[in-house]
Amino acid sequence: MKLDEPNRRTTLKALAGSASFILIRPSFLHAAGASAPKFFSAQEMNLLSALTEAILPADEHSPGALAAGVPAYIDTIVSESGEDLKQSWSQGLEAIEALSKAACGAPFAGCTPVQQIEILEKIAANEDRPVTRAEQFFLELKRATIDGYYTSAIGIHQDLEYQGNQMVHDFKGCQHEEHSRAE
Amino acid sequence: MEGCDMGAIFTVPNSMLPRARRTGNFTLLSGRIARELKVNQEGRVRAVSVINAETRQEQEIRARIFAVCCATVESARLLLNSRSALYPTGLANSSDAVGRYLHGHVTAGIVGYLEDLAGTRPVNNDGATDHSYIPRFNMDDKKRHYAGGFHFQVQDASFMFPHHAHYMKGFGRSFKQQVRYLQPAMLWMDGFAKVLARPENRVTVDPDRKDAYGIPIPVVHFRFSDNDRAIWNDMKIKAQGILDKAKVRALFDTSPEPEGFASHEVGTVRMGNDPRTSVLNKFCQAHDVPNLFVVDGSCFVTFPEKNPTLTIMALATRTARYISEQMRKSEI
Repeated sequence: MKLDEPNRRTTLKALAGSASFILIRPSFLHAAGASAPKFFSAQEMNLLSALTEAILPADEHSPGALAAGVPAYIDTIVSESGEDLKQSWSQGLEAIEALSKAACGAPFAGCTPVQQIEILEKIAANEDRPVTRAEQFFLELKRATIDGYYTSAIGIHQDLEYQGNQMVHDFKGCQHEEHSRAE
Repeated sequence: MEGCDMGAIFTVPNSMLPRARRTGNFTLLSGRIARELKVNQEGRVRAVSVINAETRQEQEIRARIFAVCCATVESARLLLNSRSALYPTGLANSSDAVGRYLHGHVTAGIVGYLEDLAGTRPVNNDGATDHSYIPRFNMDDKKRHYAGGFHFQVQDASFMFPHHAHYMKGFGRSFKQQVRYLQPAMLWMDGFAKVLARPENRVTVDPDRKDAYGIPIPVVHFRFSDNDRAIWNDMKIKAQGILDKAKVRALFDTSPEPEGFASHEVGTVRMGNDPRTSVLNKFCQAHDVPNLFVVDGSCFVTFPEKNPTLTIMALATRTARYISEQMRKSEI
């Protein structure tokens, strides 16, 4: 399969900037099916579904955050966390709802896809120096979405096509013709 | 890097505890939190007071010899929390060195991607590049204006998780596509450099602030020195130089400020020949308390750029031999 090559400029732009380094170990807390949420309300889960899918959407290559169970993953993580984090997520989601109502007169999940992206672009504009509550929350939300998606079966196997962690029956060595020695 | 279901990689639970168990002289009590070491009138440790994490019951466990191995911050905390009339400033602390000289590694990570591999088909290269190592190479550098060296661990993360995603800007379709595009090309240089052992960097305990079990918490006082910052800075410059030559693009720096200690903290219960300036002798035995040993990284006096575990293991083995010899001679 041929991968589309993003142009160099957008790649470099996406890579600019830095953040302090915390290694999050892959977690495997992807709840299966549509079981009742552990912490968030049904309405908050709707919002979380719309947000995570907008951050890592389904495309022609692989399913997105929703299919990978990211909202349930975040719900599990937050439900097992301390009060500070719970409050931060509740208030963060509220801040996004307030922005949506101001921008398009509806909750985020009720906005059009174009409107949703506009709202997210606004709160993602200051990733280096987030100021508002919504801007700070976007970083938290994005990190959790990345962790949830890329530790799911869909993220690992379908999107990234990870080939490792398999039994290697025989070692074939380098298969490049120019590197093979005449017997 | 974090263990192995088949037991093929060395870990204490997989490798050492079964050996200890096979001696028949080993009992493992899990879920116990040590509050303090209690001494008798001769100044020897007579018991450790532990709290059962489930029942919250406190219990004393007596023994002839005690070996403390709680890691640097917690070993110092345990000794400092073990105050008595004989040891008013903490157990084995007549030198006032317990808790002091806290150091470790200052780290800098740079993530980039190899241009030629971006966008290629994923292959099974786990283990092929995972944990390559660049040992210290700055020994002959005449212009070096700091003490010590550094090493790099290259690609000490698997290709299962796209670590670059945490540092990339944006979201949505193009973001997801770029994460995928760069994944086969990821290269991560992780640098570890020496930090000076200085007495003002220390662990203390705060009797007014207690953890969930009512045990005074440790307080860490730490500042990097000018030498630490200089070595950290040079480590980053050298890493960039290597990556430039390897045609690694779009570098991003995971540590814009010096960070420590890579879980390699050491030094708070240092060894030495002089009881006035050190806590332990060369066999990790407390100068003040003959039946007390500390067998973790806290015995280190200084610490080069290398990883500490093998040295800790070697010193612990040496201490174990010393203990068995001394016991045979009835000297402890």
